Amino acid sequence: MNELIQTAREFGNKIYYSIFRHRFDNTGLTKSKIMFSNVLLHIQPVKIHKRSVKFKTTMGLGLITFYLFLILATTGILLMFHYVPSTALNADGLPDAYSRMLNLRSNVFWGGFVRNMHRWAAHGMVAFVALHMLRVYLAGAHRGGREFNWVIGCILGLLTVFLSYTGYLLPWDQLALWGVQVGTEIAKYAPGGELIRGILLGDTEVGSEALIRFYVLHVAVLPAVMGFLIAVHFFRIRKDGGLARPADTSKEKQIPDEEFGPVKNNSVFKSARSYKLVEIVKGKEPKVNEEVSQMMFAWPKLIIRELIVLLGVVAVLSLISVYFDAPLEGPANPNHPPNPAKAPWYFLGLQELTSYDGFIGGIVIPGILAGGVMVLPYLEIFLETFTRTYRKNLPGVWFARERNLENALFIGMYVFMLILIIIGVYFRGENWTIVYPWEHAAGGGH
Amino acid sequence: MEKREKKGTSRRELILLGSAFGLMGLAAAGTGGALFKYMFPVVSYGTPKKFLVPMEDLPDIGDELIFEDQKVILRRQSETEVAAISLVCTHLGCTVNRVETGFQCPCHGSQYDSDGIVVGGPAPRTLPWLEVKRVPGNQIEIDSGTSLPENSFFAVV
Repeated sequence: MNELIQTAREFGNKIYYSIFRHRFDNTGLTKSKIMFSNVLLHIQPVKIHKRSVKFKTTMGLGLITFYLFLILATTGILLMFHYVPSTALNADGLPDAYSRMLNLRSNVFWGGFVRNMHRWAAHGMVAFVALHMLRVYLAGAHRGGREFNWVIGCILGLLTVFLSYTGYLLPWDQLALWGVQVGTEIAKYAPGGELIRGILLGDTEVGSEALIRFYVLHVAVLPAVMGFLIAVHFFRIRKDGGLARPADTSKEKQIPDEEFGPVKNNSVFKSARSYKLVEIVKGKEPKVNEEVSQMMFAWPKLIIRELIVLLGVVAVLSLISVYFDAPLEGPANPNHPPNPAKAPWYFLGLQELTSYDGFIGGIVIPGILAGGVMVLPYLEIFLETFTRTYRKNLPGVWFARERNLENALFIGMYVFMLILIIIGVYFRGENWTIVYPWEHAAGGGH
Repeated sequence: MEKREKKGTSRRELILLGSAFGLMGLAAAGTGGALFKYMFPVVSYGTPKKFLVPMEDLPDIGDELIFEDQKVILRRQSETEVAAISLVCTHLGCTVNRVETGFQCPCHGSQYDSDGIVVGGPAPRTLPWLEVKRVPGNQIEIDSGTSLPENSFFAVV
């Protein structure tokens, strides 16, 4: 009998160790093993700087953006089970795609909730991409070897906007049709725009072909590209030496252990900081034996915090989705734009700009902004090299005094877009005339 | 025979690399071009540009008739002359509304007078006037693909 129990235990052990390669005790070796033997966790280093988990370092903005992407992927796949990208009229005289929206709302169990979650997460993702970018810039984290990752991030930001844009055609309501109508007309002003428009729409006007193309872009092409670039983005954080840190760490304030509760730094290498190859920044001295006391194991302190952020995001998003329904206007009518015809809020700044001039507002200014922001770190390097000012490269320092001008310009750009958006959302009424929100309830602008 | 140190890429290597990458480039360009043609629309499923209106449907003198699907307004100037104006905003393609003062676009606030001439807003051009033809069968044909200057009237009766 004892022998049987012994054998069963051995069998159980074998199964356990075939799945997990480690125990769950509190030694440094186990904490390291947990991090690097798990495919989901090994993206992160075994040991991190305590600064990395402090709120003010990243504010969790990039992480929240990534979680929103995961939520969007999940809810998006769920929505695909109930959606048909067709404009064919059904028995009720409604386009198929639109009636599927009504179906989600009224018949499908949890349908409305899932759609709300998808829509609000999309809005949230655009907002958090913008905030994340602002954080990175103001903390100087786009410099010091991280220039290329900034470019990747900008492409990810553009993809986020393009995903939103392709996504909101899919309900085939008035907002969808006219948003895409206006957006693809803007493309006409660009050089070669007619060709791009033809490729996007598959027709001369927004119709059934455009719906299929936007659907494929939205559910397959763009998410695939985005997933790949997210991987590159994360990979580069590691390869570029982790989160941006000040070049001279000797004067940094020491973060006491107490801030994170008991930190059991019971590693074999207590007095030294060893580096794996992945953490060596090319062209830079690996900071061996520097800030040893400031490092701690990522498991469990970092992982727990990340999970708390995930719970928070899901909880807030669920609450919003329970209490606020995703907008759905009347079915698409190619003959009558709604009045006023407003794009979603993140495009209203652009719409406001195009209402002054189609070419300048629709192509020139957004083009300069998007292109300029994307190459911004290289632009800075260029200027610093030729004006011999080498003190602007201060990665990991919030509001560095030497960068006051740059930071002010960058914030100015955000304020400029924000003002345009506020004007577009609250101060534009019928026929795009100026109205005051306290005089007249502005419609649209979802 | 003395040994010579070679610097950089040898000619043989250069030719090899050049032809390899050149061939790959050619293949990529060919595939890209084919993909472009594959994606580019060859058939339009939209509303036809030309449409027919029977003579007895013409509006009264000084009156107008709006064709919603084709986004065209037909105006009868006199007993014999008619004109058709496109209702597609020249700014970003929204459908303009007929108002007392002329036409107004709900998308970005372009304003036109009743001849389609821009009087306000971001619209860059006058609303296109369209070609109208008398065709056999006692009807007229309006071609919404044309773009004529303002006051292009056509004698159809």
